[in-house]
Order: sequence, then structure tokens, then C-alpha cells
Amino acid sequence: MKRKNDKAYKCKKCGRVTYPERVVCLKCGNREFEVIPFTDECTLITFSQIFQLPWGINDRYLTIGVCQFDNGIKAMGRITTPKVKNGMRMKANWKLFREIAGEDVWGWVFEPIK
Amino acid sequence: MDMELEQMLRPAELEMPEYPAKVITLATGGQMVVRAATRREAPTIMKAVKPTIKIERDFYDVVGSRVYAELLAWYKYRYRNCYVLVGQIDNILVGVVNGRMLTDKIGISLHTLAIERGLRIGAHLFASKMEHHIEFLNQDEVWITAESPIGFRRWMIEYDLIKQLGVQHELGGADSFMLTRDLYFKSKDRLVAGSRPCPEDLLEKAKSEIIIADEESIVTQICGMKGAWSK
Amino acid sequence: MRNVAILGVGMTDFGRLEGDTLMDILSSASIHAIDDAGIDPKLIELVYVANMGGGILNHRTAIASGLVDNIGLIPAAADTIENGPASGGSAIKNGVMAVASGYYDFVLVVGGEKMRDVSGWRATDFVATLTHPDAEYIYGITLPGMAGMFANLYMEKYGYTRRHLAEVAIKNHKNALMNPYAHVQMDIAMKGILDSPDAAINNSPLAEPLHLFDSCPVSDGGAAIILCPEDRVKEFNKPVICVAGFGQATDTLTLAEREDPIDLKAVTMACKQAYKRAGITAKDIDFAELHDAFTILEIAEAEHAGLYKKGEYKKAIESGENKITGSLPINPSGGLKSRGHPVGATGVAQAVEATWQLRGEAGERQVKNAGTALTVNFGGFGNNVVALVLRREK
Repeated sequence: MKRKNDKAYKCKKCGRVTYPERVVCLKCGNREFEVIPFTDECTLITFSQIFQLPWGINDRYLTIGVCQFDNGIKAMGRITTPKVKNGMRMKANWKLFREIAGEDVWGWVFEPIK
Repeated sequence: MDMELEQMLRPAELEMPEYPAKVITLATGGQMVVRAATRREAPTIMKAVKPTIKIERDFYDVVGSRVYAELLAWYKYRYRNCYVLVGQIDNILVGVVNGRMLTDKIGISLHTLAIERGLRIGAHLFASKMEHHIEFLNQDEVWITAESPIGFRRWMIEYDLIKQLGVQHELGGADSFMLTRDLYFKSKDRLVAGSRPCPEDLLEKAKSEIIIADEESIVTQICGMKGAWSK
Repeated sequence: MRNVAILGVGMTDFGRLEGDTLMDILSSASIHAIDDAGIDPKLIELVYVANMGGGILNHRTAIASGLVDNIGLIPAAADTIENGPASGGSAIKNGVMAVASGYYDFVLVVGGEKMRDVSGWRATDFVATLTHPDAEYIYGITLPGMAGMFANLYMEKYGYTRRHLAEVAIKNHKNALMNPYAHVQMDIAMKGILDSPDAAINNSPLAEPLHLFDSCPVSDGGAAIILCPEDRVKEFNKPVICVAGFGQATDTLTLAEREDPIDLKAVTMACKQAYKRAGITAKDIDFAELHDAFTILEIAEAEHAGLYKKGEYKKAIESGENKITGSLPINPSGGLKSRGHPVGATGVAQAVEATWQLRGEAGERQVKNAGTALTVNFGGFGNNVVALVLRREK
């Protein structure tokens, strides 16, 4: 299955950033977008160290958070350590990080910049 | 009883330090005394366990049957190097766990049976068992298996147990897992509750009598009375 | 447009209903409501069933069609409504519109869920399917995780502490002790969940900063109401309890894309719509049933519904005015926290509780002078919210 999380977009009319993709711009209703790159670094907005994970995951906990890339894209992703604080600068890594029903899954893994 | 014959049937026992009692504050604010049961108390505990033999929910029938048999064997000196811990709230028996020493360094976790539900009694008593093996029996590892899949998966994840390939737990059943001294101390702060010493009056009171509910109450407590058509 | 009244209500126990199927649960709740209304079931022309998990958890789809067959309501029109945890609210909204429009006179709205057929890990996964599949679900996010991220920011911004959350939990547990239908009937104490060394183990982390006792249980259960035009209630000699207003609003699916991740816009908009349609303001609300799947949500919803200014619900917590005996009781039923949260049933159960309160039939947990109620049914993670205003007319 092709996952729709590897690209971010900007509305060609009003410039609103969209991630992940959608058909219609939430701000102006336009249907044309251009692909924009992700920046290497981002800022941590919020996170949680999460226990009692869903079926299919055997870790005792995962740390998951939302980061804002330097060009405005916001994305959820895994975080490499629970020892982080809101506002921290993070490196954004696009990684093969799990398998779901035999399918390789790529996504964001954020790590604090030392 | 012909004691000479009886001695032939009684196994030699390893020296087993007694579990020092502790008190745990529960979510209700109430207190549970966790202490070692004596052999003399086995028949009372068995009375509380017996009704669970009929309960299919959550594999209480399997666990209950086995705990009953283990208590009986322990009581009659036919189970080597066993201990039994009980949890009591105001003297009422709310849970029982047991295990034994396979060798002086390897422990076997047998069963965990919670009679009161919703207060993490089972989790607290299981942790107390692990505490006993590692800290008081001074063992290096504990072998664990389970009949209830949910409890087992919970322990596997919470304690990060090591799967033992090719090692048969004496209870049979699912794969055997191991808790090591290292893993125990890594998890201790977040899993092992209770404070010592248990206040003298509380402990004396708990030791004076194990109160057990009647059979109907035990079944109701475990199964609940809820149903789509119960109102 | 006609005014719409709630003629009958009913619910099952909430909890672990072993041996009962989803159909048993829906049927029982429906029959209770029909009997409470005292109507001939043949009068029911339309049935809405609120359910989220039938297909995934119970291998049952098109459940509304099965229900009308099972409880003898054929040939009534029947639809299943799925809006995640706001399925109940949505189903009521649809029922209200059906009666208000004049197309239907007697409508059964029933919500139900059978979640305990599967393990907690599978139930967690099932609920997580309401998140974005490619931008959220894949990471292993859970609804507690979403709430944890929300709480992280909300508590920091508005100065809420774990103690405030614990007080909410304690209050709702106490309320549920007076609710014979509640899933969790257990008194809890600050000493047991926060203040003692053992509290850290009793109340272990769930999704930081939220802990075990900040979360509702996984429940089975069903709740149902019968709707009819206001002017027909007198035929049945019942108090007139109207759905005076309803509102619904949506927001971005992903939490990341919210303009402000702690601005529950959909709650604010849905409540404003409901107040407007009812011709009231938030000040007119006497009590509320809010969607406290997590304790932080009772706080945030009370504020976003305009019952309190942002950051000021803590005054209610500290003063106790949110208790049943207080000036603005919140979740007299015990809330989702203790009454339980069979996902599809919750929105309907909120309306059932509000109706009992407004009728004066809530027993020990009766709110004094209950005249106007607000219910908030929080779908997704706040991206689809339904609010209702219920009012006793006479």
C-alpha cells in the first residue's frame, strides 16, 4: 500500500501548507498544490510517552510527538527518547521504522539535536 | 499417622527465609497486608479458591483448580520448597500467589489468583512474588508461564521478560519466560509497591484470622452481576 | 419545524457484559426505552443505531437492519450511524431532525458497543483507527496518547496539575457509586492515586502526563431514547423533556494540523450552535454531561463549552461546585470515567442521564433544580463534536 505521508504540499493559490495530502485546500478551496520539501530540522510542539500500546506493538512504551518543520509543515512522528521538552530542536529522520501486516512502513522519527 | 513412613514421602526442603510482611496502599486509600501464609491456613485459603474452579471467565477454572491442588499438596507436605503469599484487606482474603524454589538460585512462579478485582490486586501480588524470589530467597532468576493470555502478555511487556527457548516450565502450557535479578531491579521502582515494616497491629490482626466470603459472593465478585438484561 | 421531545429512555448495565452479544445489548436498551415511553412499538417509524465497532470487533455490519428484525420493528426505516465516539450524538441529531422536519413522529435512537470481546490491546488498536492512517495511526498512536499530547500543552498553559485531574476522577467515581448502571463503582482516594508512594504503582503512567485513573474503562453497554413531537408527549402522561438545541462541528483530522492544538474549536462551535438553537447562553445550563474519556477532557470541554473561562475550571474543582451538590454539577452520572464508555452508546447515555435528571428520576445522584442540561459528545480527538441542550418544558 502506498502511504500518503511522504510529501508535503503548499496550496498554489493561498500558500497554506498541507500535510499529509488532501484534495481541497482547507483555507481557500483550491484544488491545486505544489510539493514542498521537508527541512532537516524542526521544533517539538508536544509529545507523550505512551504505554499500553495497540495490538501489534510489543514495546513497553513509545514516545510520540508533533513537530513543526522550519518551513511550517507540522507532522506527528516517533521520538527516539522520552527525555525531551516542548520547544526542543529536533532532527527529522525519514525512516523505515515498522512493519504492518508484512508491509514496510516509513515515517518520521525525530531525535533531539544535541 | 506412621511418621516413619510419612517421612519417606515428605521431600527434603531447602531453607526458605520467610517473606517479611508489608502493607500496600490501594487506589481506594485502603490497605492490603501482604504476608506469608502458614500451612495451617491452607484449608481456609482452599475454601476461598474452590468456588473459582467453576468460573470459566479469564481461565479462573484452570488457575483455581491448580492453586487448589497446589495448596493441598503444600498443606500435606507433598510439594517441595513452596511458599504461599496472601493479600488481606481488613482480614478478608483478596488474593493468593504461590511459587517455589526449584534450586537455591532458580525460582518457579506458580500462580496468581485475585479474588477482589479492580484494585490491581493480582499485579501487586505478582510483584510481591518476584520480590520474594529475588530479594528474600536471594535467587538469580524466576521462571514464569501463564494460563491466562492477558495477564501473561502484561507481564511480558511490563517486566521485559526473557523468552526461554527449549525450557519447559513445570506447569506446561505456554512458553517459559525468565525474570532475572537485573530485570527485576530495573522494574522494581515502578512495579513493586508496599512499605515495611507492616504495622504490628495490622499484621497481628491479619494473622489472627483469614476471613473469606461465601461462595456466591466470591463468584459475584469475580464475575460481576452485570448483563444486558439484568435491569 | 416542530419541537422534539424525549418520550422514553433506557439503558443496560455498562461494564463487561460477558455472554451478551452486541445485538443483545442494543435490543435490551431499545426495549427499556420503548417500555419507559409506554408506546406501542408499531408507532416507531424510524430507527437510528449508533455503533462504531460492530464490523471490526464483532464481525457484524448493517446492525440497524438486524435490530429492527430482532425486536419486531420491521418495516420501520433503519440506519446505522458511525461517527466514532460521537456516534450517539450524531444518531440523536439525525433523529431530532427526522421528527422536527415532520417526516417522522416516533423515532428510536439506540447506541451500543460490545468492546470486551477482544483484548485491551485490540480494543486500543480499534479505537486508534479513527486517527489519520498514514500520518498518525502508523506510529502506534492511541487515543490516550492523543489526550496525553493535548494534556501536556493544556496543563502547561492553564496551570492544571495532576492533583486537579485526580480530583475530577475522584468526583466522578463518587458519582458513579450512586449510578446502578455504572461500569466502575469504586471509591478512590487521593492517597491511593496520587499522594502515597504506592500511588505511583496503583496509578501508573498511561500517556504522560495522564495516568491510569485519568482514563475511562473499556466497556460494553447500550442506551436508547424514543423521540417524538413535543405536542404528542401529553398522550403518554410524561414530563416534557425537549431536545431544545443541537450543534455539530468538525475540525482537522490530524492533531498536528490544528491551528492551535489545544483549541477545541469543534467543541466551542457545536455548543454555540446548540445554545443558539435553544435560545440560551452557557449561563443557563444547570448541569452537564461532558465527554470525559480522559479527565483532562472534562476540564477542557467545560471551558470550551463556555461554562467556564479558559483556565478557570480549576476554581470549580477546588470549590466543589462541579459536584452533584454544587452550583454546576458536571457528570453526575459518573461520566465516561466511571459510568463507562461503550463508544457508540456514550452520546445516547448522556441524553438518558440528562433526561432522568430533568425528570427528577435520578435517585441519590439527583441534581437540584435541574432544568436545562448540556451534553457534549466528543468524536475523533475533538474533530467531530455533537452538543445537545435538553430542557424540561413542563
